[in-house]
Amino acid sequence: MTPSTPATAATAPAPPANRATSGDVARVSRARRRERSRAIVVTAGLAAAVTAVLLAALAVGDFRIGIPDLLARLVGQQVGELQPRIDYVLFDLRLPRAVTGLLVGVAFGLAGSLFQRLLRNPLASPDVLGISAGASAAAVLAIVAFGASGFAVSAGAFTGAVAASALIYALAWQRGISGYRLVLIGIGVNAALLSAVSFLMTRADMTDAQQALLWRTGSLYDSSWDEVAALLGCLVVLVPTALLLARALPRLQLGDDSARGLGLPVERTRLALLLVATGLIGVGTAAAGPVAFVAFLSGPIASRLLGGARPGTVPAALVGALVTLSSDFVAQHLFGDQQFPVGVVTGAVGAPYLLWLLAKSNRAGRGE
Amino acid sequence: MRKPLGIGACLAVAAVLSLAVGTKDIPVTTVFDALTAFDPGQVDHLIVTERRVPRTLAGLLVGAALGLAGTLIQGVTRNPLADPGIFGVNAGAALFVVVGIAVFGVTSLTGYVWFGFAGAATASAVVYVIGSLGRGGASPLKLALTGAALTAALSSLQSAVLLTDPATHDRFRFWQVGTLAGRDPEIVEQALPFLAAGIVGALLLGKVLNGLSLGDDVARSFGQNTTTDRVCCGLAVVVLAGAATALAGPITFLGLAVPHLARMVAGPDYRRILPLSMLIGPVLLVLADVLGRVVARPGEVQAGVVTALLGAPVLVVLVRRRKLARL
Amino acid sequence: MAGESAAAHTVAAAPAPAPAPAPAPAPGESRRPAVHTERISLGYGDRRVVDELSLDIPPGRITVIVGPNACGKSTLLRGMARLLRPTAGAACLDGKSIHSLSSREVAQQLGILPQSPSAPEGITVTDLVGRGRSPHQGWFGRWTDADEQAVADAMRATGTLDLADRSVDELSGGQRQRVWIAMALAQRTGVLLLDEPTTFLDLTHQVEVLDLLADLNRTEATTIVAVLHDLNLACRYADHLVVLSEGRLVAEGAPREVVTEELVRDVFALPSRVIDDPVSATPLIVPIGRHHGSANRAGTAAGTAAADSVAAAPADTPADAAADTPAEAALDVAAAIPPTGAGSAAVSGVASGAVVRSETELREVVDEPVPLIADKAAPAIDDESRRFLEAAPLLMLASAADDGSVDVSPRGDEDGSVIVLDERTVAFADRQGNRRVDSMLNILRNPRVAMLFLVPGIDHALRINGTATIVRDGELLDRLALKGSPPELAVVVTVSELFVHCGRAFGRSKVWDPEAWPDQGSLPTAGTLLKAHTALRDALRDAERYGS
Repeated sequence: MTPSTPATAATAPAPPANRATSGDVARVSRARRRERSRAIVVTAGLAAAVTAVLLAALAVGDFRIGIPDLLARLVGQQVGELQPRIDYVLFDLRLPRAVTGLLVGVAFGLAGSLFQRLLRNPLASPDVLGISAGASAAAVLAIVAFGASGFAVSAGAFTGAVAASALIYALAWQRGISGYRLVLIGIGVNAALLSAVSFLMTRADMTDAQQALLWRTGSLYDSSWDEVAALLGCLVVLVPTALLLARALPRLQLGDDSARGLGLPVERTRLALLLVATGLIGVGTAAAGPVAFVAFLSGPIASRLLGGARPGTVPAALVGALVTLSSDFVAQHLFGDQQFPVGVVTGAVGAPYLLWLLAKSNRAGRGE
Repeated sequence: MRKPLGIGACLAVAAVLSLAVGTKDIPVTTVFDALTAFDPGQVDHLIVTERRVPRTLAGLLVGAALGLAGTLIQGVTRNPLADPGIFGVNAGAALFVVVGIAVFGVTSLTGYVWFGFAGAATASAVVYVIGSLGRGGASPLKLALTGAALTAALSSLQSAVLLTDPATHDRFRFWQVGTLAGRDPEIVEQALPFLAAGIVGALLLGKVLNGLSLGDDVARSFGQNTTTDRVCCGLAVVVLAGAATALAGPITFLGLAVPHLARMVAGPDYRRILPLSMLIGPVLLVLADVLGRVVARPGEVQAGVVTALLGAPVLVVLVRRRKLARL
Repeated sequence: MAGESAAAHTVAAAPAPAPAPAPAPAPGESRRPAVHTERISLGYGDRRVVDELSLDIPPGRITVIVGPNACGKSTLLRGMARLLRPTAGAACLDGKSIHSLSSREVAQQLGILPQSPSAPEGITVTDLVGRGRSPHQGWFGRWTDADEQAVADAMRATGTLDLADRSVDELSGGQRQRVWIAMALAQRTGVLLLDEPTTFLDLTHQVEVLDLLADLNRTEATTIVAVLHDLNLACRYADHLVVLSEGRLVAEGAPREVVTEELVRDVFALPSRVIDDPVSATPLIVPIGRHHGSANRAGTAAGTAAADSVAAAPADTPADAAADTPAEAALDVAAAIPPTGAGSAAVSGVASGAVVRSETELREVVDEPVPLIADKAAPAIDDESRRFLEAAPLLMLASAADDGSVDVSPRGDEDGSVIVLDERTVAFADRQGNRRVDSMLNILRNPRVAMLFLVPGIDHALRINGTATIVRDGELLDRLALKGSPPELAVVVTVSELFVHCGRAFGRSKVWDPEAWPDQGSLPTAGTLLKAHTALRDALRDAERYGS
């Protein structure tokens, strides 16, 4: 062991000047702006895409409405002799359906990404955790056992989602919530509820079973303005609350200890976020059924578009709307005479996309 | 050696109950007569031999197969929550059965078997291949994600078919629930070779699993080829779970719970766990089936529903216990 | 008992050295709130980890908490950071219990860097550092120029500006740790707590991170509390060293006052020499390994590698460490006890000519064994042995420490003392006992163990020699659960040899013959024995103290 000369020991490296120069600040700002501008571009692009698909959904169909007429009627201008027909198709048929699709997509996309970010696990979406299954079980029970339809089914679905969520939270609570435990218990509750649904299906008569299957797949068929109003009323409260609470996500993403160290009341915030996300799922499911995998897919797709690790709740909500609207468009128009409910397409298109993502990230060595 | 004997006794009791209990309860003596001195003129004898014997046999085979498959998959993935379902076995089998009914006009259970089997095998192969790409091989989370995603894709296709074809849905919903009812000897015979091969194969894999349970590095230092080992175990799982699902429809949670019970009885050595799983699985499934016949008389609750409703609490308890995550 | 040994060496809470005149804080700097704990008890569930610990953190100084694994140092830090609610007592910030403050209030004054924090996938350095500003923003706050300045300052101080655009995933361990520290700095708190900030870093990066903390302390007068596992680095960087053992405060004060060879031996169970660090003149702990310390000293009275290096140290370093301290004297006594197998000094009551000193002398008395017996060791557990092992409810575990001291202790369970994992491996639970964990400490220092398996009524016994590993996680513990509760620890033994011990000793002693068993009442109880031992110890201590 050769001791270093006393000289080097005495002249320890001078402490760096701790004040950053304006150049340093500019450098940091640039890095931050680069990420933020990507987020802005992605959000704007998604918003434009949603608008485009929305317009297409309003214009295209057996009765085609030209874009100029469409825009004119939307802002209340007269369009000539076809106006009564246009108004019927546009305002009574297509607009409620498209707006329901938009709102439901936003609710599912937002809720799904909240769950996934909150529990720090891409598997932790409401359709895997048994919350959608809770809604399904309650709705199918209402349809099969009580012959319910319309509002009663919706109310049942909402109740089922909230009850399933409360059950999972209570079972997973052990001096706090661990994301891993909650996911695993959710998977168990999901399996039990789905098996209950299968059982109910065998007890139904043929028509009820078919109606229940349609509901479970998720569809926008019987959207009405009443429904839109109810949905909108709920989302006006839930979405801003969710976006506000989502400001805690950047801290929660760093783990419970770091989040607490950064001044976040972790359990309270997490409970509030879970409540809001469950509310969004419940409302969306009540309106359109558990549209397959919109909630599961929106978050991962949005974060791939954004890059980095921003929580991206708004982009996720827009991805949800885009996926729902475009899937409904495909389901209505691309299979000739055969119309499918939207849930068939979201699952069939979204899941392979996720598989592809998985294969890609696994191959790149990031999959753990 | 007392414990396996005790479980053997449970198995015998379960089997006798399964032969005696049902919509029409048949005294045990009559059951015995039907088996030893069959009289075709007696309705009770006919019920026992034509209905309940095949059904019980199916329960025994499916239970053994799912118990073993669950133990194998938990051992291979070293994940105490693994279940053949995560390989997409159920979703694959379901889609193929739906296609069989809708496209090929299959109407009998004997026809479902082949479709179910092919579907289970295809789906699990796809999940395994995608899930094991990249660094670290087939990790539990990768497998679970891939399995969930594939299940999503397959069930979408499945509901597309079912929605356009109510007649198919009408048949399929009774397969979907997972039951032992209505299994006649012919179907059991069809599935038997696969199940027998799978069971024998699985029982030989105890030593391999012991090695794998210590981690890949240690296993390799014992001279095991871990890739080959995993493929062998995977094949056995596909054969067992595929044939079981083909025979009885999707039965959840059995493959999850049985290995834990077997480990509680047998300790850590897979050479003992595997035979015990083969005994415990049938006990649970046959008892679930008997329970299903009793609770909703004169109707029946399917065995698949009973196992799910009883299995979910088991899962919750397992998860709440400390340090379950690693195996 | 462990408590007693700890108490015996407690350095009476040394008064914290008067804080050196800290540089005046830069304008706009956050104040340094005072941190202390009042008889704080912390634990997880029923398990108490920190026990009524009172501690004052000197403001504006670097405090380092050290102690052996599982002594509660990280738990204490979590308690001080409001991450863990105390079961009794309190952690205080400026005299107020930290749990009476809101988490945001705390976060504005006190930053915590947890042990191995996890960054979300794909996050960029700037984004991560920026998240340190959140306590100052609130729910509706906007990003301000002051935030940007704080982030840039933190990145400058940690030398991470060049990494601004990079993704945290692709950084090296040292860079990543600097980024996390930058995040904590961006929080601009007067107190910074760090839990093992140097774990998983190579030596260069460890020094780099600690230098960074020292800079920060000097320039900003930030109060720093860090848990470190490297004692030497702790001594070098700490103004104030806090030594914990089993959840209690063993010593605190300046490293030079606190760190002695006795302390290191008592707290870390490590025989060592403490010399002056030739670079910083702080204490430097030189461990005495199993292969160096006693063997060398047996050969030469003075020279050990450690002493040589002291001699080579520059003349201006104080040389008093080379002088005979009481600790060193004690070590000499320990060293005089020969390692196993070496010859023996005088044995009381035996004439020196009557002592056997070599194998040749031994063989003069005992003949060579016949080959079957000489080769009777088996390399692994066969099925027959397995049946025997699984039937044995009791085993005697022998272990030896690196300094030659040995221990033998009984282990038993109703269902059998061990489980056989495979041909080469057995495992048994370490059920909670008196917490002395002598065998476990031995195993940590020297993994070789021997186990003798006893079956009641059977005269022969099996012995396993092997290498032990202590396991604290995983499914194995669940397998060893007793009445549903898994043990805290398990020991896995890799078998190197297996022997049969013939039954003659058992036969002669009639140990399994109830006829030969003594009357229970005629023997001292465990309590009586313990009492007698305590009395003997006290007598000896008094004798030493007062030179009876």
